[in-house]
Amino acid sequence: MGNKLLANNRFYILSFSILLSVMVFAWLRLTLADNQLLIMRTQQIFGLLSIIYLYVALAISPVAAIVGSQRIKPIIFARRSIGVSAFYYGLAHTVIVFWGQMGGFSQVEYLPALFIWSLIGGTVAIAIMFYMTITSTDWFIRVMTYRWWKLSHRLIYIGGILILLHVWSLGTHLVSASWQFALLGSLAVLAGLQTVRVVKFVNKKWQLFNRDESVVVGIAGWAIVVTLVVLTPSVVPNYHSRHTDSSKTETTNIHKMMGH
Amino acid sequence: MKILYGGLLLVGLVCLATALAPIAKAHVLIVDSTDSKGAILHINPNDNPVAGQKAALIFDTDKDVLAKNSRVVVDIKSDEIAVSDRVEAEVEGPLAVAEYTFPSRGVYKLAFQVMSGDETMTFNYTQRVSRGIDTGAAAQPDYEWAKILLLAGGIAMAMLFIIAFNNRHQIRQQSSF
Repeated sequence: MGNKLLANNRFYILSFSILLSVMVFAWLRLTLADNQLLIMRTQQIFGLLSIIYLYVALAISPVAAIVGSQRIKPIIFARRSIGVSAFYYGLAHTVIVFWGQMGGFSQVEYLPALFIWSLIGGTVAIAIMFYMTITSTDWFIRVMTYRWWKLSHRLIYIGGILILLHVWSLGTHLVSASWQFALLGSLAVLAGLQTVRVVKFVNKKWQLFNRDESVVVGIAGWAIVVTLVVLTPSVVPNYHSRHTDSSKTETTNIHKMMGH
Repeated sequence: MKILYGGLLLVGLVCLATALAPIAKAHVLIVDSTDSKGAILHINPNDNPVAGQKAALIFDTDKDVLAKNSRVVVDIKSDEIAVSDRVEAEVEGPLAVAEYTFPSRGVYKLAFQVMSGDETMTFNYTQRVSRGIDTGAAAQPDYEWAKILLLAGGIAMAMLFIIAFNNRHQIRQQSSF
């Protein structure tokens, strides 16, 4: 049993994730004397780690479709633990936000509407991740049959979109161009990988396109997704950018004070 | 291997972008003394003011807290530092912003008084300033348990990597469907 555990990469990934969370919290406690700031930074970092883990989990399938599953079998095997780690950090982020930063669900009524909608989106996303986690065992795959289990796990793409909207609307760092660039770049790469995977799958199943057509369809699909991401800010505002007003031609004292 | 390098490059780009990013503004929800209205408080820089440097106290309201004729003052007190100041905030739409230079590290009680006609709402918040000028008047907390936890975590992490490295062949063979 011990040897089997030590030969399982999921054990190492899960152990690493838990140890990392403990070390991050301890390091933040040592560097931040203010308790409110500690809570804020902890939930921000845990939220970021959740997104990073989720991103990696979502990138594995398209990479496998491109390079071949056989070449990255251990990574595909590890995906389950990566997804569970994403949920672990997402849950920690959620708990800290609701009970540490806000002081409970009763405080939600005092928040602006954008905050409330963003929290609803985040809550639905964590519920999806919770479902994914509890159904991630071999037993559930047998009970649900692989086909329905796989279908239900596609819910993570809805979860991913909700997380994206949640992060965009409330992410404090996303008012800066460099963070926006990093986010857009990461999403463009993931969109590209997923587009290749989808086109390959469609062609394998229905043989709709020849090689050149596949490339065109793939690029078009990727461009559509990236355009939607770029247009998101025009539909969903970022809460922290409301402190700037680009329609004013002169910088007011308030904007100077806020550092804009 | 190319995938690993590609992944590392992407992570590196993200880290570079975040390292170059300007300061962030986080948010704290504060509720008035009657528990009927709320506001979001940001304190620049980075919700972590520096004693001796100007800080911006940004009071972001919603849902009819600030009216056109509202006046906002911030009372700033600290028993440790023997400070009691009042600062007038500049009101613009839903925002009220005040500038204040915390004189020393320590714990400060902030009271945002929103005066609209005959009505006054008070929003209280306690801010610890832990950077900048230190007069020694304020006690600095010591978290010995955090040091132990960090060290223990680091050791456990190192052991995890060593065990993983020693079992790498078995991991590669057995970690598959």
